[in-house]
Amino acid sequence: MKFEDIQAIFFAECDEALVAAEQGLVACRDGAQDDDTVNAVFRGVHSIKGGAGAFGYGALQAFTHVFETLLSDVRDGTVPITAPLLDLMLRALDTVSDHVGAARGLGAAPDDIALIAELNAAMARTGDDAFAAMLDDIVGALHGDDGTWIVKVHPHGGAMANGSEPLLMLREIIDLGGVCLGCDTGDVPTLDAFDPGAGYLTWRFAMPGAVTEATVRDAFDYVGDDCSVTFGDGAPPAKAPQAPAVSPAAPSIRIDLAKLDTLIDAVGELVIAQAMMAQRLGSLGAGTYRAVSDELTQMEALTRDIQETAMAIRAQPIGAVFSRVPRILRELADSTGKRVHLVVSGESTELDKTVIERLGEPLTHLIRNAVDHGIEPAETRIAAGKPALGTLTLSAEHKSGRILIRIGDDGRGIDRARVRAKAIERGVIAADAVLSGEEIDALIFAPGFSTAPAITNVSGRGVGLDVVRQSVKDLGGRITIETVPGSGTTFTLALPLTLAISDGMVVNVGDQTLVVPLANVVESLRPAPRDVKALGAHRAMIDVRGQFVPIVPLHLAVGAVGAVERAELGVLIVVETESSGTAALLVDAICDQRQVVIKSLDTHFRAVDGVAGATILGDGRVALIVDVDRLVTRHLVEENWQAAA
Amino acid sequence: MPTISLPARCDRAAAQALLPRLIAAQAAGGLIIDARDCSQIGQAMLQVLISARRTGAGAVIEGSAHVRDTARLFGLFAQLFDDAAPA
Repeated sequence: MKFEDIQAIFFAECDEALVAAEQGLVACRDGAQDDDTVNAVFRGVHSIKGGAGAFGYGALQAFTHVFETLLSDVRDGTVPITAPLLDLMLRALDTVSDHVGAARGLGAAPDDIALIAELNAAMARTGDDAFAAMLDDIVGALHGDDGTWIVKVHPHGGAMANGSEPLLMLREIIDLGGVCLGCDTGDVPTLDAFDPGAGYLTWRFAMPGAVTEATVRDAFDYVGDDCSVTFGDGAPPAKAPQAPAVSPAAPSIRIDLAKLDTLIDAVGELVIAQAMMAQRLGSLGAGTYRAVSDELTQMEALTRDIQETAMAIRAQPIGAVFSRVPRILRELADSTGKRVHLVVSGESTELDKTVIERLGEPLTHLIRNAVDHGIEPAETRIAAGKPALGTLTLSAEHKSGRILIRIGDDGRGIDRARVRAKAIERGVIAADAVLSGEEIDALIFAPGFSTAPAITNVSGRGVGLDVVRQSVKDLGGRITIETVPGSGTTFTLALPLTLAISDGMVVNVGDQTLVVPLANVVESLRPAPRDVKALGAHRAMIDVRGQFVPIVPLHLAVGAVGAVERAELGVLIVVETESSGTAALLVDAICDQRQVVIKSLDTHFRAVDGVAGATILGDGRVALIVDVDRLVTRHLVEENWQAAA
Repeated sequence: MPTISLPARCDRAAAQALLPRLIAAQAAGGLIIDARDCSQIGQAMLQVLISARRTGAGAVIEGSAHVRDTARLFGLFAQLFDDAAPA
């Protein structure tokens, strides 16, 4: 394995450790201040420190060492957990994250001097207290009545190279309960003979009986032979009598994502091959099909199991995204002065890794928007009879094969009169346009739309929510708003569990077979002639329970030949779009509703306007997956259809 | 006596840079090493300071709280400072 590969693993582990530590600190703040939670935070910071030393990231190692020392005091119970301490530790974790970013080359190392001073000040053992405690420990150690044993440590020159610092490792010994009995400085020469690359000092530590030799060796693992560690003056126990409780972790291995994607692709091909075989057997006659129907059913079930298992491997808990939110809120509190109480639920809900990775940006926009626009300043809230502290609620849940993510605030809600006025001013809608409350709410997703009186660093540039809607749409999802004036606003993101497989409606349009994503479909209907209202020679609308919906003949949109051209002779699929509201797609017939394996046209051919991708049907034919939003918008808006209507 | 000031971060690189300056200064007699701004110190610098104390007329070290705490913690206070470590 190359150095870069090992380094990449280290950074991946840093990300995991940061998430675990942040979750632990947030849990502590919510009252879960048990040993396991505090240990989880300690382990996260400790593992980052260890790797930082090994890779020579001195600044990261030094900072995590100070942080870890404070955490050690917290773990030992010598420093009580208080709200200010948790705030300090969360800020320290942010700085660790910045140091990791700097080590990755993503920015300059943070200025941590003031924070280090704060961390040192928060520690139990500082200055004279530490020395007094150390003397007490030495007395106890010298009595040797608790199985105390001695270890000698001599760091050689190599232990000081590449950013490694022996004192940080020695501090680990002290953190384990070791007490420095003295340092032999006899080898230090005068300046004229001094070699700055040599190690001249040898320390002697008294270790408590509960600490094992292996634990001490672990502290020097990263420098290997560059540090001589000698055990003597009392035998170290082979096994700790009272090892700290550590939650058993399920065994796991780290897999290259490319290998996993290859597996997912292969599973997709398997699903297609299985469907093709079923169709082929069906065409051979009822007798043949019956003869193998049991095996075929079993194979279908197994294929689905394999597919679901493969998808589950790529699935990650959404907590990885939610865990960034406390930091966003801390930064927002600094810039807006609004402190917000965060309530999170469903963080263990799993969805595809790619969806998770692409969810961070829209989620950040929505949270910034909620704090900047939604939640009022404390004095306004108090005047309105609300708690001074606003509440942001984040939740995730699986529902009907999709994942629903809700971001809610208890702020002022959307001011519809102001949104409408701004939309008229910007030319987004006509001054006499008749819009429902929900339609007015949806205007805030229009490009360039913003009601913020001033552009701030947080929001107000009118790009945020437009970007959010596009990002969610790109993920195959939809976003909706619920708002109650004076009580708050909730954005709901409905996302697919995976980007590789989707539920679709297979339809015939003339000589073509197409797939309409089920995410867009509201209902399908066979219209009665009286429900279809013609508008000129080629345009028509359908009366769907009192609401007139424009009809989009799919054959015109995709250029199919020989298709049904009159709505009353075909089937209408009522769809919801993000950009153009509700429309009815005219198709010849609905053939099937099934899961389809999505193949990207960008990868295999080129991007095609109005086409979201392709899939292979059971009979081996390729069917295009319709980009409903784009097709409807192109047909209605770009062809100025709405004006004609 | 001449005074040599140490930087905030006294790591191995700082110790290497300091060594020739100390040798030059010690040749002229005793010196004062001002480590009052030091907020981080490693083994390499501690060794250099001990060596400076042992060379020629020796050196007086004025340490920051961090330097003094580190010296106490690692059993080097008596070798680096003239005042007794507080009990």
